[in-house]
Amino acid sequence: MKHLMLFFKPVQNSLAAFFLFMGIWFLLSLFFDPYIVPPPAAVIKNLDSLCNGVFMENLGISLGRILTGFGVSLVLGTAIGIVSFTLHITATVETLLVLFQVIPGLILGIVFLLMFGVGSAAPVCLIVTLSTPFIAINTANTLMKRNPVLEGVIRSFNGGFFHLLTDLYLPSLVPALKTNATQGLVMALKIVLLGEFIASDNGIGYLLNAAKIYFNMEAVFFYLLVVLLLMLCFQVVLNSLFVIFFQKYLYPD
Amino acid sequence: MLSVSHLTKTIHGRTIIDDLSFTLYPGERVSLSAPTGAGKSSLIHILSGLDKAFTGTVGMTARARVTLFQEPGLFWYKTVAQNIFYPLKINGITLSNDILQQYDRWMAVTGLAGAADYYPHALSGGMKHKAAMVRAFLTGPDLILMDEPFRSMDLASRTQIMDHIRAGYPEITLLLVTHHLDEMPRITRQMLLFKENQLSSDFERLDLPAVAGK
Repeated sequence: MKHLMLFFKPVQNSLAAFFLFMGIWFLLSLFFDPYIVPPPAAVIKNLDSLCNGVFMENLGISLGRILTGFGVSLVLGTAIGIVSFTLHITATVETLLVLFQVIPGLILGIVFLLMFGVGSAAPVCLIVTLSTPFIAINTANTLMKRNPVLEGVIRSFNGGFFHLLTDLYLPSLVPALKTNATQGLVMALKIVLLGEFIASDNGIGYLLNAAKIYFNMEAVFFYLLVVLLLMLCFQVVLNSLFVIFFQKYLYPD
Repeated sequence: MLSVSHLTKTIHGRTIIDDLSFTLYPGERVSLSAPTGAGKSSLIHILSGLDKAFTGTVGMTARARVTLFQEPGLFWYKTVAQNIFYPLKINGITLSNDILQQYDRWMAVTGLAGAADYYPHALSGGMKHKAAMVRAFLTGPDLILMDEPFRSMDLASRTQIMDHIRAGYPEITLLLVTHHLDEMPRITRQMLLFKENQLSSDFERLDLPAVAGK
């Protein structure tokens, strides 16, 4: 039971959000016509036709973009965070990165659409541009929360910068890495939907846009459900990976 | 072994150590007692080489110096045993039979034998300090600086550990910062007594009464 809780405790908020969404959807369906808000039961009944080959193909395309953008953001953001901490330029880098964060994603999406055209490049670039600052700032700030006691211990035992890096700084990054990975992946999912919505001819975001244009509300709600389930899956998978491989580095509750 | 000459330390315009001079010769074991906030921990940091912002000189001929800080400073992701062997590992010291025997004795004395595979978060404050103490002594120091290392331990544990240090490491040079008067004669032979709220040249160096078995 304890081990089960280790996996599911961090995703309890997402689970709650999922059930909240289902509850609100069900309640709304009581007050609106089925062609505006179809009841959850109707969508579930039509799962076979909604989960067709086209959907699976577009889901694969979206997942590819999410994982590519997220992977690049995680590596780039972590590297920028570590470098800015090492060079003592965290404040300057943070100021620059915040500039990227305040630019609305919609505007950036249109800019990337004009730059790269319709396809995968625009959504992936959108993820990298919007997620990297968050990851970099979080990484740098974690490193700046120094542990003077352990630094003193390492130095008093003749440990040098290498030992500080490998035995203190990098292990203390793991909790931040977990946050970055979880939040970054959820951000990537939201951003890719936005990017595909405005700048793509495939992917779940594109299907959502198409379903909206054709007023196919069953499909719209189905895609929203898929997005929520994807978020949950990402969190469970990431949490499992951290529990299995990095549990000892995470600070105990 | 350790020579402090005209040491002065100022923090934010306030002089907390003022013209302090004293010497520890090899094998001497000395307690340091002063009011709270007098700069004892600052002195330990300076003597440990962690704080270079001072005037005066600190001379040291110790081959191997270790410090026991007020905080145990255990790595949260290492087990007790891994924490204890950490200094040996980073200094490339192989685990000899002598070290392993010392380790076994220390684990028995401190009551940590059953907790070698525990992570620090599963230990009490006193047990963490014990693990830090074992770690410090296993490195084979000839000078050890201690900043209230017994404060989280119960009286029985304190006594047992101090007796072990006294009996097992008679040649070690030791400087102990403590508020506990009962600790001083059990582990040290002399005491530097500072009465003012500042470490300065105004102190007494007193011989301590012998404790049974000392």
